[in-house]
Amino acid sequence: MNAEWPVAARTGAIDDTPGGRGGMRVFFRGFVGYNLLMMSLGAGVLLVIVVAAFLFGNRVQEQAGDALRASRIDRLVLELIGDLVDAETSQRGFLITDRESYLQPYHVALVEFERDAAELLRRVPELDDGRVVQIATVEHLIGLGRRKLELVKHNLELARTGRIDEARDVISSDVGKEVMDQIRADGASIRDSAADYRIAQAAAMRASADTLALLISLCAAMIIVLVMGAASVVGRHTRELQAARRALEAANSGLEDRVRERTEEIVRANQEVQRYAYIVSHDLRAPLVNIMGFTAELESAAETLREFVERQGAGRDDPEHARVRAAIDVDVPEALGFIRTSMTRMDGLINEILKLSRAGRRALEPAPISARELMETCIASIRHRFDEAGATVSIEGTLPELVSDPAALSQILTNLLDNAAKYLVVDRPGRIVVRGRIAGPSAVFDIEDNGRGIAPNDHERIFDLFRRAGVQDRPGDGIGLAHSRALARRLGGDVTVDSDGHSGTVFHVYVARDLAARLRSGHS
Amino acid sequence: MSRTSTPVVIVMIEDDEGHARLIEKNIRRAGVNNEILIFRDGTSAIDFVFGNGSAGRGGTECARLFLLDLNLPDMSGIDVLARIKADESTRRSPVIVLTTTDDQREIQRCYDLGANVYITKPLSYESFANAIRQLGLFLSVMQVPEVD
Repeated sequence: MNAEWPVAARTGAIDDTPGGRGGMRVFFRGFVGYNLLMMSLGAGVLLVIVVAAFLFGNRVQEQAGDALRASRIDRLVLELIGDLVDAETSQRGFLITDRESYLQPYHVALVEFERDAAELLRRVPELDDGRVVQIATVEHLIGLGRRKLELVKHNLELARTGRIDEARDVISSDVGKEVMDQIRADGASIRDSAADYRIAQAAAMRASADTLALLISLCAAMIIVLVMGAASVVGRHTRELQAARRALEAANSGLEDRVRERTEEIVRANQEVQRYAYIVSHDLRAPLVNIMGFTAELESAAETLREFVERQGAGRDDPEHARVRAAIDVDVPEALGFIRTSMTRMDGLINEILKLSRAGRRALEPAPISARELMETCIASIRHRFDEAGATVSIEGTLPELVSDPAALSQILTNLLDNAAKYLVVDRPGRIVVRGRIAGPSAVFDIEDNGRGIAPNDHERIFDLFRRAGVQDRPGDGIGLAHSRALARRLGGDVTVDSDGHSGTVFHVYVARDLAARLRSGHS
Repeated sequence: MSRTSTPVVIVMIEDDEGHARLIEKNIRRAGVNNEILIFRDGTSAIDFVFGNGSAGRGGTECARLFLLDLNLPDMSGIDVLARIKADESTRRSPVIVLTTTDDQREIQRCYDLGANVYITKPLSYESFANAIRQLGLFLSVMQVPEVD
C-alpha cells in the first residue's frame, strides 16, 4: 500500500484525531445499554400483566363455577321439597275427591323426587369436595323425603282399600306434618350453607377482580414511568449526539485550519530552503572567481618565471638552479593543476545546487501530456547514451495521459533513463523497459533496467544530494536523483526505488494525474 | 575609450577586492588606460558621485562610466542604479551591470531601471577574463556623452 500510494500515505498520516472516535463508541454503547434496559423492563412488566391476568382469570372462573354449583344445589333442594309438597297435595286431592286423575301429580312427583335426589347426591360432592354441604345431611334429607313418601303411599293404600277414615286419622295425627317440617328444616340448612358459600365466592371474585385491577393500574403506571424514562434518555442522548456532532464539526474545521497552517509553514520552509540554496550558491561563486582568476594569474606569472629561469640557466649546471627549475617545472604546475581540478569540481557542484534551487523556484506550467510522446522524446534525447552502452530501450503497454509540467516530467524521466544507461553491466546485454499505469490520484512510470542494481541499504541514500551508491567508477556528482525526487514531489508525487542489489533496478515515478487541479486546490 | 574633450572616468562599484582587481587587470590588458575609481560599497560611491559626504561632488566635471555589481554589503546595486538613472547629472552615463546573478527578474529590473548593459560574471576564469577583455575592447570604442 505504501509503495503503491506514497502521496496518499503521506496525506493519510495527517488524519490523526486523538480520542475522538473512541469516546464516541463508548457514548453509543451507553446509549444502547440504557435503551436495552428500558425495553427489557417494559417487556417484564407486560409479561407480569399477562401472567397475572391469566392466573386471576382462571381463579375467577373457578370461583364463578363454585358459585354456580352452590346455586344449583340450592335449586335442587327446593325442587326436592317441591316434589314432596306435590305428592302430598296430590294425595289430599285424591282423598277428598276419590278420583284417580288427582293422583297424576303424585306419580310425577315420585319420579321427579328420585331423579332430583340422585342429582343432588351427585352434585353435592362436586362443591368444594363436599366440604360445604355434608353428604350425610343430604342423605338424611333424602331419607326423610322417602319416609314422607312412604307415609303418603300408606295413606293412599288405606284409601283404596276403603279405609278412608283411617287415612284421615293418619293425616290429622300430624305425623306427616312433623316429617315435612323436619324436611324443610334440613333443606333450609343445606340452602343456607350453599348460599353462604355462594356469597363467599362472590366476595372472593370481587377481591380477585380488585387485585387484578390494582395490578394492571400498577403496571400501567410503571409503563408510563418507563416510557417517560426512555423518552428522557433518548432526548438526553439526542442532545448529547448533537453536541458531539457540533464538537466534531468544530474539531474538523480546526483540523482543516491546522492542515492549512502546516501546509503554509512547509511552503514557507521550502521557499526559505530554496532562497538559501540560491544565495549560498551565488555567494560561493564570487570567491571562486577570485581563486580561479588568481590561479590563472599565478600560472601566467609562473610561465614568465619559467621563461626567465630557462634563459638565465642556459648552459648552467649547478644544483640550486636545478632545484629552482624542478620547482617551477613540476611543483608549481602540479599544485596549480590540483587547485584547478578542485575548483572545476566545486564549480560543478555549485552549478547543480543552483540548478536545483532554480528548479524549485520555477513556476510550474501544467499542460495536457501524452506520456508516450514525452517518453519517446526523452529517449531520443539521450539515444547516444544507449547506443554507447549497447542497450535496448522499449516502452511496454500504454502510457497514461496526464496533466503535468512537461519540462519537469521530462527532466525526471531523462535523468532516470540516463542513470539506467549509466549503470549497466558488461556481462549481460543492457535492456531498459518503461511502463506506465494509473494508481488512484497518481500517474506512475516504472523505469526498469537489468544493470548492477542498488544495495538495499543505499535505497534512501541515493536520493540525498551529492550521495552515490556502489563502486564510484562512473562520472557523476550525486545530483540527478535528488533533483528528480525534488521535481517529482513538486509535481505531487515522489520517486522510489526497488532493487535487490545485483540483478537490476526499478525506479517508480509518481506524479499527480492532474497537476492543474492539485495547484488549484492549494498545493504549491 | 575614445576621448572627446575630457577623459572618461570609470567608476567601479564592486565589493569584492579580488574581482575588482581582476576586472581592472583585464580591462587594462584590452588597452583601456582611463582612470578607474574603485568603491567597495554603495554608500561611498554615492557619496562620491552626488557629493553627499566629505568627498564633495567629485568628478562632476568629467564624463563617467559605471561598472556596477548588484551584491553590495550595504545596499542593493539596484538601488544605486535607480539613483544614478534618476539624477539629472548622471542619468546619461552608461551603466554596465557586472554581477554573478543571472536571475531573469533581476536582469529585467535592471534594464527597466535604465541599465545599458547587463553582464553575468562567468564562473570559469577563462570565460571571465575573456568577457572582461571584450568589455575592455567595447569600452575602448564606445562613446560617452559629455557633461553639460
